Amino acid sequence: MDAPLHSTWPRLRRQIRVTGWRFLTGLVLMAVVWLTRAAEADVVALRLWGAPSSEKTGNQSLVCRFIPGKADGVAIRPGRGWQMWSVDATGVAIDGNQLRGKVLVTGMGGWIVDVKQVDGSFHGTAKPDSNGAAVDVLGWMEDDGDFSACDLFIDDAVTKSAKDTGVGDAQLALRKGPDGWTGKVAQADLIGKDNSGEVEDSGGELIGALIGPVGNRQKKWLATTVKVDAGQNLLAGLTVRVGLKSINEELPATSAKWKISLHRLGSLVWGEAMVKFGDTPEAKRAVLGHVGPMWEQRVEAIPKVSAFTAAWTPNPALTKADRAENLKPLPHGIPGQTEFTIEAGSYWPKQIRDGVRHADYAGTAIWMRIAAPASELWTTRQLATGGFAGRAAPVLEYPNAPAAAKYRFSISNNKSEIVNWISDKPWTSLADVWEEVPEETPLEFRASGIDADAKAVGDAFVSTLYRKGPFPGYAPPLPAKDEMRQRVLAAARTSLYQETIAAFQYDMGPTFYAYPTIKSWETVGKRMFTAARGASIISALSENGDERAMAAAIADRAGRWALDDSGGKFGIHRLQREHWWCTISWTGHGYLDLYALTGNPAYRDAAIDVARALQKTQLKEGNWTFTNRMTGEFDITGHSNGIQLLDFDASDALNFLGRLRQELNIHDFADSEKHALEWVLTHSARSSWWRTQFGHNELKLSTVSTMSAL
Amino acid sequence: MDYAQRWAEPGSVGPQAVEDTLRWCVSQATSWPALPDKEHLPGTWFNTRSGKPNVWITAWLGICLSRQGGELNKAKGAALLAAAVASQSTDGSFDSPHQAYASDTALAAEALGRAAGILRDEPIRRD
Repeated sequence: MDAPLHSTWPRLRRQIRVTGWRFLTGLVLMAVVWLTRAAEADVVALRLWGAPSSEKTGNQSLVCRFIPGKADGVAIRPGRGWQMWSVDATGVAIDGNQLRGKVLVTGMGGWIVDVKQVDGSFHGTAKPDSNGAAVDVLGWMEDDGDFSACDLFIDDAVTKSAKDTGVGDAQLALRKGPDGWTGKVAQADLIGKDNSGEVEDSGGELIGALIGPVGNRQKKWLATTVKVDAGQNLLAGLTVRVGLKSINEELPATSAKWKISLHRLGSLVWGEAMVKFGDTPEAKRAVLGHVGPMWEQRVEAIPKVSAFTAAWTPNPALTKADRAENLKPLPHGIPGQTEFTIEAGSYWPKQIRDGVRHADYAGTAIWMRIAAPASELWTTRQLATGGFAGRAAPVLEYPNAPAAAKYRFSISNNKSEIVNWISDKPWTSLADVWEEVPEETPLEFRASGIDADAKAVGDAFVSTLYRKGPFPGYAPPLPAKDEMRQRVLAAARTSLYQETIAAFQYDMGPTFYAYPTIKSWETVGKRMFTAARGASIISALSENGDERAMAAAIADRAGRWALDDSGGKFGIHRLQREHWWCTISWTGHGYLDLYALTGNPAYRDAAIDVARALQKTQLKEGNWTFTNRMTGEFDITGHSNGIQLLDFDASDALNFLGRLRQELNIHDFADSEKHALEWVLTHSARSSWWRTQFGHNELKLSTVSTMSAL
Repeated sequence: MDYAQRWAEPGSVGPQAVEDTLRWCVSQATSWPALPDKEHLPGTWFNTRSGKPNVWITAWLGICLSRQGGELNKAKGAALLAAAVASQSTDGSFDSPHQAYASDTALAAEALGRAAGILRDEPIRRD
């Protein structure tokens, strides 16, 4: 029976009211949810892996997983799954389960993180630090799903006490069982607390892997040989390199749980370039292409050296000629006339704020004239502090010589004095006595001051001397061109795939970088250069069209990433802001290679940008010094501690500018090039000292190219 | 201004500076054992800083010497280039600690390719 209308209306009103409230409540809830989600989207969430060191402060190496979002309005690139970056946390302090510190994201500046430890992993949020450093993504993205398929924990790795152990080898053998991958590390002096890697499979079978440590201040690993044996053991030969901290420093002996995460290659989406790796082995192979086959190919292709050792026949006539040649003194400086000291700067004390090199660089506290680092400055003076071993007659100096009327020098073997002579200077050329110096014999070099009565003054200086034997004269020919083609191709493949697999296909972070520096903005350029140069060689020599295309594609991807890595803050590409002795120039060479390979005008423009950066930062003398990575301006602060040279050999930049002019027919930088040439002619070429920032005489690609052109 | 003019200028340096540089490199940092072997590469140019053999620099120094005049220079250049080849492993890499850097491997490959005449080898013109 129907209810009367007078009793229905209030109920209806109640229903309308309730429904309205519910509707409004729903709207509010939806708004809250929407706002919450919007807020979440603006937060970059972090998940960090890696146990902090026992010190609980200082540098930490962690891997973080970032959930896409925004941070201070800077969009993290869209990804369908997760992004993995390698980070280096500094100033980390742990309070309970709170970890606070500054996380350096592959050189892109600092992020402040507040992290909580939950279930063995660290979770937290990050935001750019107060310096407003640009946020960028250097990682790669992977679909959900396969990430944890091969997680591996090794509990028995022991950190041994090690003191500058240098490069060693370790062997890692893993076996896949019902509980996942297990294994042990042998022959290892391992420090890695948390290591990460990727494996590649083919038809469900593992065919390779790359494994490395996480972070950029720990030991570096690079798995260079990987195979799966018949028992499905994954064998990886690892190169172990001691980290920065271990140089001349005793490392603590501790036991550490050691985790290796092996991630299957799923669908990789590479940054905004969107190089998509297929899901199926076939599709993946289409992109990864020749990686597997090439590994096999290069192993087969290279003949052993014994094939041409028979040609190493000595030639007595050439030996005689070389012995005469070696009687001439090596080029050397003369105090007061040519370089005997160097201009150097100290990066400490860092509190000195006036670190910018002024136009006249006079009166800047951090500039000084110092004695040249003896062991480095071979050509301007052969300081015998560390002993001399060479083939031609050197010039040796009596370090810290006392004031004396004359100086007596002598050479002895373990029995008696062979020759002695007097000089009125505390340095001497050995050219006049070199013929009397026996070859291939350990000798003693002695210097002492004497007064007018030939009595000794001050402390004598004693060092070692070793005259090497002359050139035996053999001049073996290179193998035939066909064999050389195989050899050069094999080396190029090794270079390209080692570098690009390590650096570009799997992980752009510093995890697998192949250059010992923590400065990824420098290694980015070098990696790109390496990929471009390797691909150029393959493009020139390979008869396989697919291989040429593949190599070019890999290099192109490296180049695109380098291009994309532009901050633009100062109108200078990030890769071109910080200049060491070769960094900018190598980047420029890479772009020129890529332009030749691909014809993409973006690389041409990038190369020109490099030239502009060089032009902008060129010193009035014609060479270059350090520039700040953020500002692109002269700045010698913020680099590593210690004294380093501020005047670099200009031949790297000179060589790049010349190539730009020659290949692109661009003469806009001719003045800069000529200015650099002047510097090379009046410094490096005159002193034979082609110096890097460390002062060593580095014979570089550009150096030899420059010398060849002189 | 070309280089010939530049050399003629008062106070300038000439090709002798290049010759001196090369002579220094060979004198200071190479070793010439009687026969090549894996442990002691013949004619390897050693990095003065690390003291480790550096194959790509060996190869490039070989090119420089080969371009210089004189039988002695050419022979030394040939020896250095052959030493670089001799250090190559069967997998294409080089037996040099320095060659852990992929960039160095690429440069060594390029040097050998130029030396063998299978890659373009044109110095930058300075005109």
